[in-house]
Amino acid sequence: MKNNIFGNKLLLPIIIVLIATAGVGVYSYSTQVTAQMTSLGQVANSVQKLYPIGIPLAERADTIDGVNLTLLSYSDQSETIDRSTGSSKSKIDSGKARLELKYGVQGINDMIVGTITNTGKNTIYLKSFVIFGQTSEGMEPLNAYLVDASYSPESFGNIPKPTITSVIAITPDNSYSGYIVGKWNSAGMPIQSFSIGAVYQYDVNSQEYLPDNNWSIAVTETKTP
Amino acid sequence: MTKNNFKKTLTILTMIALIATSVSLSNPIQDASATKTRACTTNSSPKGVDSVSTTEVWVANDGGTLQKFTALSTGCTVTPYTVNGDPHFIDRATSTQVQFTNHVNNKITYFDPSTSSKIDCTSSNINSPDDIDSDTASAQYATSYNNGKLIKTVKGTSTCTITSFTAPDTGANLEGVDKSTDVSGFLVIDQANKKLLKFNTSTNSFSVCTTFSQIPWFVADDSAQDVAWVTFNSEQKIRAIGTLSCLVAETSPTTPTSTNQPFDIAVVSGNKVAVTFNDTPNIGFYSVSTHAWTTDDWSSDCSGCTGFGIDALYSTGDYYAALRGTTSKIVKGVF
Repeated sequence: MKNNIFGNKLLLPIIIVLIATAGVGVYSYSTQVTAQMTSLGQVANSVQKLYPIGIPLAERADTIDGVNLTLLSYSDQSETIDRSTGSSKSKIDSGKARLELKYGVQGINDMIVGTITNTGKNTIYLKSFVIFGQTSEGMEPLNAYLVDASYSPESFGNIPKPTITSVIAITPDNSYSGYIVGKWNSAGMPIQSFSIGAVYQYDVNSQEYLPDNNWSIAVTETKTP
Repeated sequence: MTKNNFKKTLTILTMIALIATSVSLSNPIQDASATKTRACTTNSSPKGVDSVSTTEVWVANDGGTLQKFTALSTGCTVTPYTVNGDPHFIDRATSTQVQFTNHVNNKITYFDPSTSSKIDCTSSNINSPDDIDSDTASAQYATSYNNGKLIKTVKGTSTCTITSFTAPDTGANLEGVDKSTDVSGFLVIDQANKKLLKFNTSTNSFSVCTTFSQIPWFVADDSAQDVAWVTFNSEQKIRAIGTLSCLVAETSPTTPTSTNQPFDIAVVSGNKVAVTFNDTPNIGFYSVSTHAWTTDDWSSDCSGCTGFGIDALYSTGDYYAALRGTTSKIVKGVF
């Protein structure tokens, strides 16, 4: 038993000190976490949002300004909300659209490209088209408003005027794109994950744009380059 | 092992256990579990929940009743009130004033439990009223879902005054609403346009806080922490948004498979929230300190149920939620 560590009197205080140190270490870590926890709002409200100006493109593109684009992801699934119940209603058969997210490198900069294509039978009316950028920590400081038809200086306040502020009609098989170029950081962290969201409407019964009688459909796609 | 060595070993193991226990108790990382306290069966179909205190919790039932639970810590004492219609979300302002939205009947109704009297607020501007919250006891704000309006109601002696404010976007569908001192008014969700809006009650004007990539559902303000929390049902995530900067400060991981789609949300304490799911009888918790989901599983108490309204008491960490099913339950737990 002399070889048993518990049989050595010197080891007893050492073990206790080591365990106590580990305990303090864990507690110190938890204290740091608590400090971070209480500062979430401070962090959120001290970090400046980034609003890169988007560049519109009235077509789908595989190359922009000589930059070859890689398709990161795409989605054919739209989601809408049932106006009578407020519940989610997905995967409708008409008024379809495809959303694509593409990525390219221009010098030291990233090029992020979003494209929406009308894959249905009716004209769709694009109301909102925004590229989002996220850090690895889940913070989303980058919003590039490519299209927002509801823009007014009063309602947008400090948000810069979107590139396009009117509804864009997209006929079947046609596309609309928008892109941003840059290298973005926020609070010392690189923005490495991008997503794109679109809101469009289409008329159920005719080709006319009747805002109060249309479906509102949201499409989203996310991908990390 | 000799007797002496056995004693030493036992002593050391006991010390290790004591130290480990003290570390465990002092470590807030391990706080991410809740205690299920009570599950009260209700023969109604519960929707909205408003917890006033540990001894007063109001529930709106879509079968036309309101319920006041007065002892959920110790039992299921309940007082039912028949109000008819289709109560949806509920907010109790004073002991003589409880207001609720009538989802189908396009009314916002004031109910006085002391006299069981009602005042119905009706207007062509109210179209499928949804969530409701009080500014002060004298003014309530409710979302009108189908026409994208925020409805302000003020109770009078026998009638009410109604004022409507139209959201900026065409085709808006307003869902969640929550008072926020940080924005001098209310935070409002526009589902159709995927926006979080601010409504300033001094200027009676909307402004865009932020646009999301996904469809938002409900919002819970935590002005003490300068953030607000928003649920994203189909994406199965929630986000924390700075109420001053409108920056998305944190995006949760996807909810666990067993938990699924977040619906209503309530702040249980600083930077900790509880959510219901509209496809499971679980209550989910998300803490900024752990960046992870934990769950209270109520499936054994409410088999096949789905969550609806939830409210919490910031001071105690108690949550109260409505679980709908064949045998619906009002549940209480402590985070």
